[in-house]
Amino acid sequence: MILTITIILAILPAAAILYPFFRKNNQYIWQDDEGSELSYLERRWEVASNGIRDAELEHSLGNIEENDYIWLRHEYVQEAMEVIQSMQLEVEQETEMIRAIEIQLSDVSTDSQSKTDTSLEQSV
Amino acid sequence: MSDIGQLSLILALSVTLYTIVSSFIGSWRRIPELVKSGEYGFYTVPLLLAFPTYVLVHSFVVRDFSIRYVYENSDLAMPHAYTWVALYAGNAGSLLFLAVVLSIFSVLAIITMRRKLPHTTPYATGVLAIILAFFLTIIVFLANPLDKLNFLPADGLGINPLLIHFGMFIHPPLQMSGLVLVAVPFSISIGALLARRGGRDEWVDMGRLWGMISWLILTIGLLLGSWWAYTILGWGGYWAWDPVENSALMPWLAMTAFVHSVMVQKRRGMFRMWNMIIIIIAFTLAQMGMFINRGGPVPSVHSFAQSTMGWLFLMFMTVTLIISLAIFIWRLDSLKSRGQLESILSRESAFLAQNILFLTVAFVTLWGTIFPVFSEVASGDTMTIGQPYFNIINGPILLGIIFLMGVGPLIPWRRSSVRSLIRLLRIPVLVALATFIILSAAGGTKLFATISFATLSLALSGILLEWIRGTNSWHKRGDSYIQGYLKLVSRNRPRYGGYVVHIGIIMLASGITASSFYSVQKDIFMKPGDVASLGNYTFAYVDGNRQNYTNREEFIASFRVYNDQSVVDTLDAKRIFYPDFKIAATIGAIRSTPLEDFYIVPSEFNENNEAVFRVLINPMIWWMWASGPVIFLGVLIGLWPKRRSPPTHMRLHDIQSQDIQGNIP
Repeated sequence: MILTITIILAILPAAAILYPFFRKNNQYIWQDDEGSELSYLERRWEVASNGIRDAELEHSLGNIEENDYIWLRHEYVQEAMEVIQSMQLEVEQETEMIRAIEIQLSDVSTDSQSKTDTSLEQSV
Repeated sequence: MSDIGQLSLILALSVTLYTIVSSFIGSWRRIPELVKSGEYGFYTVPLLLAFPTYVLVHSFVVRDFSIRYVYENSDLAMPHAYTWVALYAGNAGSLLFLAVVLSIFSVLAIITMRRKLPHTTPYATGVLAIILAFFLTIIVFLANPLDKLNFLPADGLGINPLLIHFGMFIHPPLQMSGLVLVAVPFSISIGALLARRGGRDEWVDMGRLWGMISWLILTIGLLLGSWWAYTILGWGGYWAWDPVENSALMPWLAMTAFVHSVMVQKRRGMFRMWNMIIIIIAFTLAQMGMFINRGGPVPSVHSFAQSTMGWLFLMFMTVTLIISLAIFIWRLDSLKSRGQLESILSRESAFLAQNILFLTVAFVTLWGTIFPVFSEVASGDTMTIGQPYFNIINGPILLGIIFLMGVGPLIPWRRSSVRSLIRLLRIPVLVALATFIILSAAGGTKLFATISFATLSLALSGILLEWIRGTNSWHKRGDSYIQGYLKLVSRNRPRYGGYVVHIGIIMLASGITASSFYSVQKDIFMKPGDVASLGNYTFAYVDGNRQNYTNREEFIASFRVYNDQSVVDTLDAKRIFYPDFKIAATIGAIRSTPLEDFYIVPSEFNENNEAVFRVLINPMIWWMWASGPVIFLGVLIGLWPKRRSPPTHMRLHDIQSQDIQGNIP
């Protein structure tokens, strides 16, 4: 019993440590890069889309003045446009990304929902 | 069995050391096999540590007193249920517990981040392995819980009696886990710096996630610690600014600052340097906590894991601080902010101000904690700093934090206007003024407490008003109020989860304020049959009983409590004396309601069962304990995974073919 436990305890880490050396392809681990331009754009996109969403939410809650709302929304839409341009997407893909924001905006309670969505598409 | 346990500990240390080497060299020399080898090896460390833990638990269960740690921390009279407590009751066992917790959470952290942060993960793994290796080295060479005695005692020395309390099942493990888990966000951030992936906010999501987890565990640990002190230490309070308490509070303050300011980095690409500094500070303070708890130079009433190893922790803390600051300076040029403060009236500014206040409280507390050491070095006399120092300096700063907690979330990101802020704060300020006037008119004689309640009401009304406005907005679109509210919260989880946490903090602060300023107490000598009163309560000392056990003597005083002539409760206050330890534990008799606690704690009984009883009325303490579940719920809501819409999820794969990928040089 004791011998079995000892063997298992020794084999377990040894097998785990040696396994990658016998596996054919380990290169995949650095296939993606969190520091790549693409990942960076993705994060900026998330920030911009969340910003638009937040501006809508704050506006619908009455937390911001109309001119602040317009400025904030413009800034975030501008950021979203820059990201889309940097990504060099096809038209359908751009439309799909805008739709992603629209879906997010539908989560936000706002009386001016349809107005916002239309104007967003026009802006982009 | 204990020999295999020892072997397993040595194997765990060896694998951890291998992980350090393979992770750093593998990443540096770009050898994926080596990186993966270290990572997979690291995954086995919790299993390797599970075995010695099992051996130790088994030794406690069968009362194998040939194991030194079992001999020192249990005896035949100890209830079996307290085996769990005994496991971490002493230095060696608590170190093993810390190592197990760190290894498990390190593996979980690596699994959660390896796909999102492929370049950062190996370095973060290496840093986590260094921290774990420190614990394991001490365990294997200096404080081995499986060490054997060279004789077989008939009975053990017994567990510290103060640990025989329900709270001890949860408080120490959570407190220790919270302290050690600060290592996870710290490792992620340092890993990102080492991998040159810190300058574009790559690590922020993972840092925030693990920062929140660590913060939550620290919070619940602190609350349970206060509850334990309140119910068993027998002085009627819950916080004494004791060095061990402070050592847990300081990293909590730094982590609270971190989980807020990391949001600014996520949303605005700002505070990149600041966040690195804060997490380094938090990790350093967490290690200082372990140093003080393990035989540091500062006297404490309840550092029960005393040892001579505190200085090793101090050395490790100093070395990690120096190295992490060196890494920070080395990568400083990559940490320039993308955005900038566009207005003083912005959420970013509120976060910054609140961060500064949190760190100020942390450093005031640190100074008060370590002052005795400096005074001894300077004058040869040890001068301790008492509660007034902490209360007078920290009180107003904490009030400022509560004010910012109320105002900050109402200010939008980037910019706002004075007019907008006035409009938003109009009702909360009116509520605060009304609270101030009502409390003053009702006889509130303590100005600071009245201001504190007014500020808390401002914060609460700000949150409730936003909930009402948001729910109304959904209601206008056809939802019922309940549906509207649930939609509002569920579709904006981080924001409204944060509000729920803030409500928990308001409950906590209300309890602290009320009990600190309006607590009344009286010491009364009573014999069985005596009747006394305090406030609206009249209480009769009905009977006194003594019971002798093998390891303790219990004195139980039974009281009947009346409020307005009618019996509201019968309470038992206990004093338990452990002759072997020469320690007495007092279990207060507590009648707890949301309005106030009626609390009786006995001193020593004479042969006629007469004693001096300290009787207290502590207002609103119930709210402090109730805040724990609320805070937990808030964090759960805030961290609940976001529903991902298909287009967002798809876009990476859609555009990957377009070859726009480029690496940071």
